[in-house]
Amino acid sequence: MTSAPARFRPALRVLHWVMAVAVIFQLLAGLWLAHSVSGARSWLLTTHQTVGFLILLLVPLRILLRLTRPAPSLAQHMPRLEALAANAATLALYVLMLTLPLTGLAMLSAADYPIVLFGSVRLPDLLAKDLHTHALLRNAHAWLALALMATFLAHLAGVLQHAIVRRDRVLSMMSFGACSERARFCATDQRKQTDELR
Amino acid sequence: MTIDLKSMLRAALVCSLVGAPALAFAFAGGVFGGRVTPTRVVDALERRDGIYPAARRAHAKGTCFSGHFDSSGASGSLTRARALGPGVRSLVVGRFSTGGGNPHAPDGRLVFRGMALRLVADNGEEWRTAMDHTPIFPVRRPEDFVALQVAMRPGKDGKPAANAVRDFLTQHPETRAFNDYLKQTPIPSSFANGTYYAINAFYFVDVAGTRQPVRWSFVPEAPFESIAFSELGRKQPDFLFDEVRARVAEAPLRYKLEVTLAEPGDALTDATVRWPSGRKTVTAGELVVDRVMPERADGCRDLNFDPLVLPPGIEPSADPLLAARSAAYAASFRRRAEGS
Repeated sequence: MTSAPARFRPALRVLHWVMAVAVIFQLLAGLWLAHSVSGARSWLLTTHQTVGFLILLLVPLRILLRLTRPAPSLAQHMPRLEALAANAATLALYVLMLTLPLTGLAMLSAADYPIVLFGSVRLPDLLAKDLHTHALLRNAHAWLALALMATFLAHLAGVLQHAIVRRDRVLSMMSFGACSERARFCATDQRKQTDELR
Repeated sequence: MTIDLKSMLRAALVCSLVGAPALAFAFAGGVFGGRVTPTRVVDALERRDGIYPAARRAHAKGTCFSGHFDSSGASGSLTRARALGPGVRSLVVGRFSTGGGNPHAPDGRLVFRGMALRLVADNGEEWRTAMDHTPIFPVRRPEDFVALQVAMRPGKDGKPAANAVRDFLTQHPETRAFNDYLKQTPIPSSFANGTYYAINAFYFVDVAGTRQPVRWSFVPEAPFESIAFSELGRKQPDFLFDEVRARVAEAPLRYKLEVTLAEPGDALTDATVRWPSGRKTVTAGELVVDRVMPERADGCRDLNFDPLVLPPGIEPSADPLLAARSAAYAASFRRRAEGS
């Protein structure tokens, strides 16, 4: 336990926030594409596909970065059951961030729909054209997106509970800036942590 | 006491910070209603014409064809689309169709005749277009399209309520103008001898990024022949499809792609308005249809002719119908995939 660092490595923290913005954009854009007939559709379609593809590339990188160095431990900040739930949500977020782009790209491929990334790069067909497969993947994409929305909101609620109500150091694992005595989400048990490390 | 107030405020802050994205998701997902959604468009079509699970929700009756498109290169300076470069041949899969949501409806009706194409250029660039035999569309906005389907919904006697139709037409002079056009314009006797129009405006974008607004149409080589409206009802139920199959068995069909260039002030976001005559046109190439086959998986049956599938060098205009067609086609495609 004492070997666990106070924060995630910087590369993981950067990736976390970049991908948070990307995932929220993807959820809103996907909902809008499925439930609106209004303009910006052409731009949203291509951007949704491109960003989804980039997320698909970044998740394995993130997993690699996560597994190759010890991660901070949640157990030192919260009861074991809560830490278990938080870790389960994290795992679910990783799984959903992988399966959503996969089902998205595959459902387009099964519909014989050209996937064009960055405005001009045509992705090769992933699947043979098949209407049944498309229906299956299209529905899976929608349900997985709902699951991601729910998991994201639970993740957000959990973190905010720690940052705003309990005012402990949970958010600091993923935040930037010095962990000084005055840093808002960092100060509470700085000394205790230092003692532990000694 | 102050501590209680503080913690309550903190809890409220957490709730609102979690609630804000939840509300944003609900809004984007159309939970609050009030706007036209693809679901509403497709529901309106289904309620008008009935549900045929595996069929397209519009232009349900059709036949597939294949062929190729040879570019003349004449519009190559206006667009960097590979399919319109000089001497480029694209492979074509297409579909002739008649309007409405009933795949078993007789051909002898005064309805849209459609030609949809998928062109694949030699570098893989794809261009899909779904065209009608009229140069204009009956409505301007997606909400008007839904309202028209609702007004045309058949009652117990199988006919739309006269007052609903009358009310709609009173409010929509553009639809009256379309109806007048339809009644005054001879209808082609075949899929092979009528012109098909792209309906919406697009932009051709050249290498330098210059955007020229255009509309395109496919003009048949076969001389125009019409069929009298009074004769339509006496025809065999599949006369159009039978005729085109027999005709292509004899000789391929040929159509010239005519690209009409807009001038400043021409309507780019209103499919109910024709551009003035005398606009410059460019003959961009020739479509050859050499095989007609039934609607099957190996043909065009499982293709969505989404008008937003465009190659680099062709971009959509801001015509609201264009995004709406793409969204509604996707919803229809999903439903028939689930129903097949």
